[in-house]
Amino acid sequence: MVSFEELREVHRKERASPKLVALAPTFWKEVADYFLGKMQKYEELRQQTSRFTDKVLGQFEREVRNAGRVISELYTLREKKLLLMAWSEVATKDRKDLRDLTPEERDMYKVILEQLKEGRNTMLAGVLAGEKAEEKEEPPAPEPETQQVRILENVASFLGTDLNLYGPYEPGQLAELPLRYVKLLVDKGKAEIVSAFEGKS
Amino acid sequence: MEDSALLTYYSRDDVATALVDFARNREVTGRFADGGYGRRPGTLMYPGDVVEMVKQGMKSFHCSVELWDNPMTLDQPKVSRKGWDFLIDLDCDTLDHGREAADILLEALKAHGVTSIFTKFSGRSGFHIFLPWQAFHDSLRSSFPEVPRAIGAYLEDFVADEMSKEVKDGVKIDSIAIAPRHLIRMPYSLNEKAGLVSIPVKDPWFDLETARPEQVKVVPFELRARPGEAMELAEIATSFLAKKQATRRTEAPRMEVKGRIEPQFFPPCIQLILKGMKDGKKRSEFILRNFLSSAGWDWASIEQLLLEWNLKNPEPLRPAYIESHIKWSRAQRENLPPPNCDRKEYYPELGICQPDDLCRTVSNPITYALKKHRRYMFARKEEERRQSSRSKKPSPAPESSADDEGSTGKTPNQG
Repeated sequence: MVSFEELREVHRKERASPKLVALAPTFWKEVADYFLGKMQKYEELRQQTSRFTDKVLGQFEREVRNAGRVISELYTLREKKLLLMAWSEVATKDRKDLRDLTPEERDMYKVILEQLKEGRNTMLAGVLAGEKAEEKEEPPAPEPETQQVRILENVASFLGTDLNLYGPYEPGQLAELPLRYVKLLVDKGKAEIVSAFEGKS
Repeated sequence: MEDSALLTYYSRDDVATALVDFARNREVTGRFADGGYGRRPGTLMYPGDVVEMVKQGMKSFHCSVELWDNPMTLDQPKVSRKGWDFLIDLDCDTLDHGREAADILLEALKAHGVTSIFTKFSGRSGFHIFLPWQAFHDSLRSSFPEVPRAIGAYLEDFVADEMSKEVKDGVKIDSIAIAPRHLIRMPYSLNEKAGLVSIPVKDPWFDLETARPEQVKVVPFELRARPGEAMELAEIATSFLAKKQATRRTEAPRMEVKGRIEPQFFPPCIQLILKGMKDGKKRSEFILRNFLSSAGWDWASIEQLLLEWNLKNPEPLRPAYIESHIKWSRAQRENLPPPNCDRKEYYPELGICQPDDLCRTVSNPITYALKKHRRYMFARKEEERRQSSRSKKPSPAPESSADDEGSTGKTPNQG
């Protein structure tokens, strides 16, 4: 399993290099294992009844947030380089070497590349040919960022992308969660959305 | 303890076998009555080796916390380290203080989710607490001694509030023990000074009688742990130390020295070390080496002074110890300052912190020396300036004006 030291090292290299740093194909899976391991440990530590428990949990939460911050930054750095690489491929028509990307990143790259190409092929080509884009409806009002859900199955603790720790949750419990986790839990059948009316009652 | 009793104890099959079992992948040597160690690198292969070494005059057995593929090749340039055990070496003034401190530390370790903890009595008044190498990831193999030192520093800080003042004053985590090729007393080795055995204990409040050589019951054990169970502790400790060092770096003295600062400007703590040390010689050597190099001394002079100082110590260090440390320091890019005055494991614990007025204005002994030297230089320049202006001044003529000092009939100093 990857260690925090190794994550920090990858992050340091990624920050220092203008190019994408080569990652092992299993890198993001190992990172997922790392955080899963952390959360299991967190649950384990929470069960302790020592005079040191609160202090250790405080240290532990800080450490998990630190690791989360490092990974978020690493992801953002790679995301930016990936976007530039895709843009460069569309603009220059030079095929890029994707060997340094993980399989997940290669999939994402292909989707971005397709979207950029499609934009050029339809929007740019159409504009140059004097075609006007169809009138689009006004964008809908922004949705609220969180939603209340009722938990249906046990949900273990997890670190959010906002670096907050969520959970653990038990069946029947009501929780206010960011939309991305609401979707994730509802899709997995682990939670259901509480209607606005029900939530207020 | 008589030699015959010693031989009887080490001749026990169970004792010799336990020593050999623990010696696997470790550097091992024996210690003579005068405190000197046997040939290094060495190891223990067979129970018969134990008796043989005792017959040669060895009283106790000591091993490394570092694990090696082949400890016998340690004097060769490239040696492969297999791993290392984390060790807390609790140096205690009394056994009761040791028991209390060990108890608190064990609880702190368990609160960090570490359960595979091996504790042994040092044979006198302290304890050795081990976390086996398996409790860490292989990625930390080359992080010795940095990571174990970070864990030691973190734990010391972590439990500080829980220890009573007496325990805090009487107990210290010996960070010197976490050093390359440092040796610690082996489980089931005798402590030649106390005549007790360094036995593994489940509870720090064990019955001391069970550590008497004739009472010792050898319980087979193996240092095993859940793989990676101490990794969270290692990560938290590493971050803790990084933060602490970042703070210290900003506080570290950054003053340039022109030439070398002579001993008359040294602070009281350094003066006391220079008189010779009964205990804490290695820490003192570390302080002196860094202090002198920061005070502008060249390495040849430092080596000479340290070797001379060593002879003033009631039990001198091996000259090779001093020479190897000088060699190491010499190879570093920049000179490190001595530890800051607030590092209690150094000046207060060595009993050499006897501050004078100037001490209260500085946070590092080197700053003291620099300030004192600068004040002296300033005073000397002032004096020179005064003297040269006096010598340039023409001698007062008898008909000098009324406001001349000479006219008052007083010498300038009397005014």
